[in-house]
Amino acid sequence: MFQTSRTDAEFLTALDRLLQLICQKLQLTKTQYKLAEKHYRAVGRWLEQEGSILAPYRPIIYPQGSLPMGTTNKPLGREEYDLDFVCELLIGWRQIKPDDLLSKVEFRLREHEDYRSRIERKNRCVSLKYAHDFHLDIVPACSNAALGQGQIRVPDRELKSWRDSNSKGYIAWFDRIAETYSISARRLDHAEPLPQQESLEEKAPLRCAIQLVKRCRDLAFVGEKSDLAPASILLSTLCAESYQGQKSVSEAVFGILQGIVSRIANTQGRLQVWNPANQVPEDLGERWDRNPRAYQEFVHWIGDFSRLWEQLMSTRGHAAIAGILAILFEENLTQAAMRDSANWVDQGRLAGQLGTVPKTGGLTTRPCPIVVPKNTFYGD
Amino acid sequence: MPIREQIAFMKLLFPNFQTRWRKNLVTWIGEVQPDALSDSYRVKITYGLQQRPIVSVLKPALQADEHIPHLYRDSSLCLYRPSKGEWTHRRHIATTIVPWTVLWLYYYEIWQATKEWRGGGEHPDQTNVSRQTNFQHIQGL
Repeated sequence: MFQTSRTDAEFLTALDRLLQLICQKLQLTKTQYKLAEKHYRAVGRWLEQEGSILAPYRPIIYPQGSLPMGTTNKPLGREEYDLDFVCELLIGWRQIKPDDLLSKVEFRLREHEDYRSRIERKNRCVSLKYAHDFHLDIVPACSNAALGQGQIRVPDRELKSWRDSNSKGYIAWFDRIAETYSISARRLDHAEPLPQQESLEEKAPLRCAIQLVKRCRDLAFVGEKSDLAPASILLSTLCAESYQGQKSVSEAVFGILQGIVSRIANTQGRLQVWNPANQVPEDLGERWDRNPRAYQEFVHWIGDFSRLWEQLMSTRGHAAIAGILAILFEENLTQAAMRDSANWVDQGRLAGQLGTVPKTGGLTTRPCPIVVPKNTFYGD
Repeated sequence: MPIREQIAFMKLLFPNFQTRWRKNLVTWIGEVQPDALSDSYRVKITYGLQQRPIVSVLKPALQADEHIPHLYRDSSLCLYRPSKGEWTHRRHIATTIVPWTVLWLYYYEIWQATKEWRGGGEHPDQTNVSRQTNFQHIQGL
């Protein structure tokens, strides 16, 4: 980790704020979050209701993946978020075929007037579409408690057999690492006060870092390369394993990328990334064996990302910083975050609370001997 | 206000600025950094009792693909509207011109990054139009 001087610390705080604004623009709004919660709970009640074909199996529905991890991003070029849920059923996996289980869930959902029009059957899940907001993807699962708490079996991609999973265990593993530091605990005392209505969600640095890494992945693997993109669970696992408790988002991303780059360099062959929650070992990078080009692209991408991030950390000037962020996360998103990040100056000025620190001239909204007087920029 | 007092105030509040004073003309050169993400800028302020303060940026040179807002033709910064009395010889340069310079540089950087000038202001020949378009987010200033 860096040894940071006060100036560096102020830079990191300001850069973190910009990155947090990018994350905020990528994630679900609070209203969408509440709406998603309301809908999935309603789905849960419908599936377990007396008279439901699934009632005997005591279905329980819970979120998995990015939603409980706090790493949900809006997909590139699409308005709706993909939100994943598990529908866990008390049924032995030997007693039913994956395809039949999926059909049972679909059947029950189709009995509901509203869901009927929203259903789309996908390969491994049933999806309910809520236009402009999200898709709720519901994966049916057989409880497999014999292997341990939280262990489940879900249909594999081709629906011919079952695959082990443990969403709850994964979240517990991830949360333990992510909450090593939470932002509220590290709030630096020289951070500029934020306007109240804009206060950023206080989120653990690792969660923001993963949002940024996934966003960069989405942008780097577009079009014909989209099939080669590393999966979110693989990236999230790698990031969490490489995270060393950095308190700043920008330092967290820096450390994570350096960690992955050196892990790649010290590995013969391809990286092995084990699912940390599964009793039955699962190599999340298995797909790379079938597609070596995907691994090469991954290695290139991480290397480029890491070099650009290193450059970002030593860059000064909003335009130069925005230039790098635009390459990594897209121009419009960067500019929108940059505009938001300037709000404190506009608002401080409007309220007559903007000051200039003697000696350096730095702008501040904290009490200060020089208040910037009212002025009108004039001329062409 | 005597030039001597302007110099004393600058020395007090911005001791890193170098001062050159010849007859009735004083020049200050020093560095300011608008915020933690900004570049540091070496600026020059020239002032005499017979002339308004002139502020120019020495380093890094101002640059843009497009016309930079609120610059005079000699590339000095347009910091205030003379007819509004926002600056007079009775005011301290250290507490007006310098903070406005820093603010201008901040908005210049944000403009470079977003193509949006957020600092508001007026243009001499189309004052009313620019007030409507550029002034939206800081109405009331």
